[in-house]
This record gives sequence, structure tokens and C-alpha cells, in this order.
Amino acid sequence: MRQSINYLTNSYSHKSSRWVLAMLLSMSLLPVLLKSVFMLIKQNSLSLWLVILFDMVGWAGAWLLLVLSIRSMDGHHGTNFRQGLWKSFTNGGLWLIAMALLSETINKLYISYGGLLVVTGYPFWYLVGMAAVILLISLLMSVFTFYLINIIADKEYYAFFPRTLGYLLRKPLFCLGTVLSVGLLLFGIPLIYDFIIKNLPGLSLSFLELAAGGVLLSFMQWVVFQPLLTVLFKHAGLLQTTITQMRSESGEVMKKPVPFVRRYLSILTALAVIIASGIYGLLSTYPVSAVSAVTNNIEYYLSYGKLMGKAGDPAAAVYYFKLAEARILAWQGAVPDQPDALNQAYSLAPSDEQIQFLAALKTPNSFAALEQGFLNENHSKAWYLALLDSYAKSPALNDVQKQRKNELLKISILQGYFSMTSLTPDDFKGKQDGLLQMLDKKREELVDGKYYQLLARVGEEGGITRQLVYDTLDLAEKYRSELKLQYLAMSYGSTFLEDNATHYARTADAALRYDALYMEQKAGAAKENEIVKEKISVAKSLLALGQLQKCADFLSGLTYKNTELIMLKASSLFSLKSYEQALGAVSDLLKENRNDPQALYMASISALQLNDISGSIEYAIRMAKLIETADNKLETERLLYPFLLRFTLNDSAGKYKTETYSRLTEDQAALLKSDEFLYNYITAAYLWAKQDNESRNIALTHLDKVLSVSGSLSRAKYMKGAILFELGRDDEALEFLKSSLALDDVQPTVWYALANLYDKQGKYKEAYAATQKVLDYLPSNNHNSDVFGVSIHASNLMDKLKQYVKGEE
Amino acid sequence: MLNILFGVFLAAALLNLFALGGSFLWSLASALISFALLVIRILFVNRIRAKALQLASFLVLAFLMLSGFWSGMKTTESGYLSYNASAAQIENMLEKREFFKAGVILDKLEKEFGPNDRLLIQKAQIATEKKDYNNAEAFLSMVANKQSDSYFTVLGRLNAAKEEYDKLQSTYVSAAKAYPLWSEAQRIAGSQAVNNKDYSVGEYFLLRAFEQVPIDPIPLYYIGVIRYEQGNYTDAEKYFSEALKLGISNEFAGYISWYRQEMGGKKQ
Repeated sequence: MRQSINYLTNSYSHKSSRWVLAMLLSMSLLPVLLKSVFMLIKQNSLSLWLVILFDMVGWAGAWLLLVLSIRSMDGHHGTNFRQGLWKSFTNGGLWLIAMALLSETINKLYISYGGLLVVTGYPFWYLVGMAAVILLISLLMSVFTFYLINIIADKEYYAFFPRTLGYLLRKPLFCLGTVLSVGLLLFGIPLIYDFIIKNLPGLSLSFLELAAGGVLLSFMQWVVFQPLLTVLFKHAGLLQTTITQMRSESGEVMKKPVPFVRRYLSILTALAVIIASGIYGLLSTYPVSAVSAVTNNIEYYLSYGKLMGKAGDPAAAVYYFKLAEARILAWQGAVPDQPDALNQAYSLAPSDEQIQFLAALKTPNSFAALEQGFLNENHSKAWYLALLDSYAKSPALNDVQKQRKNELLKISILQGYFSMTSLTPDDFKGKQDGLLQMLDKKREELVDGKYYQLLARVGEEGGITRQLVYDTLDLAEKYRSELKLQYLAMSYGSTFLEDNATHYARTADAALRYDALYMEQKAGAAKENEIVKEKISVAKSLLALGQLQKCADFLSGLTYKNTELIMLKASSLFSLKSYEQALGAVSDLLKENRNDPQALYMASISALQLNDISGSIEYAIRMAKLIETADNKLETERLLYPFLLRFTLNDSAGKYKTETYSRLTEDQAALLKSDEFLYNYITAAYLWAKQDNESRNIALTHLDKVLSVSGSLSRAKYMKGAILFELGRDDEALEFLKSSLALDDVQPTVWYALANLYDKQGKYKEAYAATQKVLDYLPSNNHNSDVFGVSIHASNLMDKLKQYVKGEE
Repeated sequence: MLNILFGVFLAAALLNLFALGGSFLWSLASALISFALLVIRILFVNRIRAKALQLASFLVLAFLMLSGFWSGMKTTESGYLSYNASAAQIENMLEKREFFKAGVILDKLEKEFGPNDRLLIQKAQIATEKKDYNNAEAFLSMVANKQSDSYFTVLGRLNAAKEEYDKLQSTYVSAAKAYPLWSEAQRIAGSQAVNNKDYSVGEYFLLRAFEQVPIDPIPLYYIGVIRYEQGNYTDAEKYFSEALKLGISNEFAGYISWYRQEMGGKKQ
């Protein structure tokens, strides 16, 4: 411990320490001092190249002082400074600069692209990556600093790199200590410094503050760098001794000339790394290529928008796409001078500082606009310097303006704002065509943003609204080759169903476009079951929209052997009243599964419509058998019931024209009687339709037999309730209607019957609630499934009941 | 080494004093002290004990560093620094509800710099607090950027003060749409939609708010209210419990007790 303290004390008090501190100060303060003095003289922002020159002066000074600091170490031969300076620079100094620039590039690249890990939900891996980058950079800098010190420690100013690396690898603890110290120097100390500066109370802007900050940072770096340098130098000495011993022992010639290729190839490689990293650094910091800089800027927002969309946040995706669109418009408006485009950009993103900046620059009185923006807290570097330059261009300034200009100049210097690094429209002289072409290209990518906007609107508007459906269709029709938009138009349109809606045909077209694009773009890579799923979703949408012919046409061309697809085809044909084709399709299904209730339902009615009475009865018997045996009796009874009505009813409105019961032949009657359950049920329905009390009473006995087979038949209970109601046996009727609804609540006809019963009993509130139920399940704007006009009758009853309900309240 | 530092401080103090408008007193003091130490260390180094000189040098260096950090630029009348300082002072006063004083400074700033969005929004805020709603509306109507977060905030306060809850909801829904990552706007848009019984919109924004700040219990409380109103008491209870676990304030905890009582009664 004491030895370590002594070592540190000796290191800090060593004569080399002043050079080290001077080197650090040269890097942190010299460029700032030069830039400040020049800007004060110029009274305006500095050119980019002047700023780079001053930075290089600071680095050159630092290099000189570093060599001086190493040469002043104990044990250094200290001869021929000029020759040593040049040799150490070409042998190892260039490599150290190359590695410093490469480290900067690695760091910038990671910050630019590693940030995507955070956006995509992997912040932990971002931190792991950051730690790896810090270690890599520290390792690079450690190795090459040690290499340089070895070169300077050698009398010939030459060290063989693999030998230096080998030495470090053979001493892992020394290597690790060096890497960690360099990491602390490069990353830890700036962080600690920032923390101190941010938490210092009452900190104020002044040049003395800049100097104090620079001194503090340099001092903190010196505390780490000075002992590190001393240790590295000591090890360099050890390595030199070993090499000399090895050479003497092996009889190797002490002074061996370095091969030509090794020497110059090394310099050239280092220079290549410096140039490549320098160009990257320049491109990423300064807008050397104006068009590329705008492209990158727009791409940044587009990528974030796409990432947010993929991460499942369409609202945030819209935000970034909107910024990208606004920036495209802003540049389109600012460079060829199109005020409309600039205004559009401003209305899209009025708080975006880049757009405010371009708008201010293009306003006729840009000085006033820039000043207004500055007063509105637009305090970016670009804004400071643009306002300062704008002052400089103003021919006559009054006293207050002069005062403000001086103040702004000083603040800019103290903030470290020396050169305009943001793009202005003036940077595009002669590059206008290139910019506009690029902007047009980028505009094509905005369509994804429009898609996400449609997705986000569902949440923001609380569901799918009429306006949303029509906006989606408009967009889908505008961008006909966009698969996602066609899908969205199909999904929204087939969900938003209302009577006489005008969007059904358009939505159906979108669905068919979606199918065509899917087959073109996705089907090649998709499995057959995925394609079938897609076809099913399109067919279901077409059916939901009532686009029966389109659905039938769509399905008729398909050869997939999928029962759901065949069922959809049969359904569409059945709804189109193409009973013969429907029966054909259903027969295929029944070959696969002879007890499919849905298929039997369509088969029984199709056969009835085709006047194949026996066939129709046979299908109905199979359904009836299913009711007796199936687990889900309710579902099968729901399908059998319409057949019963068609078989027994000729209604006045002429919807049902297939009353068959009264004209059955003996054979057909015998066939019907072969299934007692069906016979009783169908006879009850027939007798009920006769509308006389005698028939009603007989119907009740048939229904009792039906219900004795199964008590959980909602339609049979309804029929019994309705007959009892017609017979004036209200209490019994109420019981059966209620028990029918207890089995299946979604029966608007039963609710309507119940409403009438309550109305008759003077229970208006209950009657009103029952009519409400009818309209909930059968909206008055949906007449497709309301054959008897129950909805209209319920509405009328509701209107009548309103006055009584009010009275009760 | 110390000579280098005193040289740096002398140059910086002189530049600060003569060219960059730094504080006269601190800059002059720093310049004189660093010059004195530099002279002593160069000319009288042999006459003073080394340790004493070193100690004095370090103390002076510490002083120079501290004076450097606090020797700020002088503000000039009608200058940008004084404008920013005054605008910040107004914001401070508004937080402390010192509306009269804030109004006086605001009038002065408007006279010197003319009206701008920042000042108009502050004026609208003062007018709202003084219940002078017509003027507040007039000031807000003059604001050029009607999409800034501060505009939305003050407009929201105005609508709340006027008890115009539909407008309040629409203000915050607009804010939440304009800034989808502004979690507070999502939360207020959602809670206001719930208060206005617009449950589907409310749920959307509240879920967004909770995804963005998963430690905030208030969105959970409001989603619990939505579930309660939808008659889904099991889910309502889950959300209320989670909100309590996250440490919701006593006021909201009281509301949760009320809902729990109601749900208990209805279940029975």
C-alpha cells in the first residue's frame, strides 16, 4: 500500500507530469481559445474549415507535448529530439491517431445503430453492446499507446508491433489494468465531469467558466493518465531490456534495418484508417454532402416509424412518419421556393424545429422570424448562428439591436457554437434536381405511415367508424398495389355493416385486390394452409358484405379441397338461390361428413326449392336424428326451424312459397312419419300456421311430444309459448317464452313475442325493455335476416310504449 | 505545471473581462490573483518556502476554479439573457401562484420584445387563473403554433376551469395524438374520456399511458372504472387491486373503496 502511494506521489511530482497536463490542456482549451478569439474578431460564425484547422492545432500541440512528456521520463536516452519526433510519429503516432479516429467511428456507429436495440425493446443488450464497445476501444487505445511508448523508449525509435502485443498478452493483469485505466480515462472521467458540472449550483455562462471547466476536466484526466504513462514507460523499458538481452544472447545484430514494405505499408495502412474514419467523422458531423444529409435525416424518421409500427405502436409510428413527411415537404418548399409546400409542412409539424428554421429562413423578413423563434425558446446551435449571421447581414442596426447582437455573439462563443453545421437552403445551389428526385423517392415510402394512421384511428376514435371505412377505401383505391391497405380496407369494410351502405361493392373490390396481390407477392413463399386461410378470410368478407355473386365467382375458380371453402361456396350459391349448384356443393360436403348440420340445412332447403320433396324430407330426417343424438341440440334445432317454416308456411308477403305439408303424397307422408320427432314438430308448425284454436290445441299436443324428446329446444318452446299466447293462456305463454330465451337469448322474434305479451299485461317497462332487445339483435337498418319485419314491428311497438314508460318514471 | 494553469486562468480572466462581458468583479479578481501568483512563482520562488508556496498555489487554484464557475455574463437591459431570465422568472411565479407580479413582468417584456407564443401562453395562463376566460381565449387564439405542448396544457387548464369537459377531452385527445409518446397527455385524454363516459376511447389512451409508465397507478384505476361501468366486476377488482399495489394516492384509494362497496352490493 505504502509502496503504491509512494509510486503515485513520485509519478505526480515527476517532471513529465507538467507536459502531460499541458498536453491535456492543449486538447481541451487551445482550440476553444483560438476559435473564440477569431469569432470575436470576425463578429460572425466561422467557416467549417477554420474550425477543423483550430481543432487540428489543438491535436498537434497535444502530440508534441505527449512526445515531450515521454522523452522526459527517467531512463530515456533523450537524444536528437527532431529526429525522434518524426520517427515516433511515422512509426507509432500515426497508428495511435488512426486508432483514436477509428474508436470515435466505432462509438458513433454504435450510438447511431445500437439505439435501435432500445427502440425494439432490448435495452439490456444495448448496454451489453455498449460495454463491449468501451472495452474494444480501450483495448485498441491501450495497445497502441503502449506501442508508441515502446517506440519512443527505443534508441532507434522503432519497435516491432507483434512483440509489443505479445508482451501485453503474456501479462494479462497488466493488460487488464491498462485497458480499465484507459476506459476510465476515455469514458468514465467525462461522465464524472458531466455529473459535477450538471450538479454544480449556480453555474453561469462565462469564458472563465469554460476555462475552469477545461482545467477541471484536464486535471481529472491527468490524475489517471500520469501514473498510467509512468507504468507503461516502465514496462516499455523492461521490454527493451529483454529484447536487447535476447539479441545479445542470440548474437543478433543490434541494429537491424526495418524492411521497406513493412515500414511503408504500415504507414499507408494507418493513413488509410485515418482517412476513412476522418471522412466518416466529417460526414456524420458536418453536412459535406447536403443531399445525403437530408436523405439520412428523412430516413432516420422513416426507420423509426417502421420500427414503432413493427413494435405494435401505430400511433408512435404515425408520429415519426408525419415528421418525415413534414421534412420532405419543408425541403421541397424551401429549396425550389414553394411557399405552399412549406406551409403544409408547418401545418403537419409546427413544433418541429427544423421546419420552423426553414420557414424562418424563407420568410421575407427572416431576421424578425428568427428573432421571434429565438424568443420562443428555439435555442439550437443553428438558430443561434443563423440569427447572428442575420444580424451581421443587416445594414443598419439600432442601439438595442447592436446590443443584442453583441450579446448573442458572446453567448454563441460561450456555448461553443462556432460554425453552422446545420443545412440551409443555400447549401443546395446546383444540387436542386438531385434533392427533388430524392424527396420524390422518399415520398413513396410514406404510404406505410398512412397505413399506421388508419390503424391508430381505431383506438383514437373508439372503434371503426363510417368515416374511417371510407378513408381507408379511398387510400386503398389510391394505392392499389399496397397489399396492407387492401387488407385493411377489406377488414374494416366487412366489419362495418349497415343497411344500404354504399361501401360494400368498393370493399368487395378491395378484398379481391387483396387476394390478387397476396397471390402475387406472398403465395410463392406461403404454405397451402396459409393460402387457404387467406381465401377463407376473403370469402367470408364477401359474404358478410352480401356480395354473393362475387363470392361465388371467387370461390368457383378454386381447387383447394377444404371443407370450409366448400361450405362458403355452398352458402353463397344458396343465398343466390342457385339451389341446384348449392346442392351439388353440399353433396360433396356430406360425402365427407354426412352429419354436418349446416350442410344438411342447406341440402334440405335446396331440395325443397327444387321440388325434390322426398330428398328434402330425407335431409330433414337426418337433421332431426342429429337433434336427438347431438351434444349441441340447440344449434341443430336452430337450423331445422327455418326448414319447418318453409315446409309449412305460405305467408302473405310471399317470402315463403314452398308450403308442401298439405300436398304430400302417401309415400312422402309415410317417409315423414318414419321419424316421429320430425313428424310431430313439422305437424305442430303446420297446425300453428292454420290460425284456428282447434289446430292450435292439437299443435300443442304434438309439441309436448317434441319436447318430451328433449327439453332444451328453444324454438319448440317458443312455438309453444306463441301458441299459448294466441290461445290467451298468458301465464303459461310467459313461462315458455322465458324458458326459450333462457336457452338462447339471441332470438329477436321471441323477444318481440314477449314484448307483446307484456304490453297486453300492461307491463310497459318490461315490454319496452323487450323491444329494446329486439332492436339490439336485429337493428332496424339490417333487413337481410329479418324476413317477417320483426324489427319494424318492434320499433312501432316501442314508439307506442314510450309514452307509458315515461308515465311510469 | 501550476504556472501553466495560472497562465490559462489569467488569459481567460482577461478575455472574460474585456471581450466576453463576464462579471467585472469576479473576472478582475481572478485576473489579478492569477497574475500575482504567476509573478510570485516566477520571480520570488527562491525566497518563499516551497511547501508554503505550493499550498498557497493550490488554494488560489481552487478559488480560481470556483470563481470561474460563478463569474457569469452580465445581463444587459433588453438583451436576450435578461429576456430568458425574466421569462423563467415568470414561470416560477406562475408556479407559486404570484399572478400579479408575473403579469407586471410580462407586460414589460411584451413592451420590449413584442408579443410571441411564449408570452401569449403565459398571459393566457394568468387570465385563466384570474377567471378572465374571454381574454385567456383571445390570447390563445393569437398563438401561432397551436400544436405545442405548452399550448395544449394551458388550453386544457382553461377548458377545465370553464368546466367544458367535452372540449377538455378533445384538447387532450389532440395533444395525445400529436405527441403519442407524451404519457401525461395519454393519461389525461383517457381519464377525461372515462369521465365523459366515452369508454372505448378512454381505454385506448389509458392503456397507452400505462404502457409508457408502468409504475403509474392512475391509468389502472380508470380502467377499473371502465370495467365497473361495463359490469365486469371481476376485472374491475383486478385493476383496482393493481392500482393500490402501485401506491395510488389516498384520494383515489377512497374512490376505490366506494366502488368496491358498490360492487359488493350488486354482487349480492
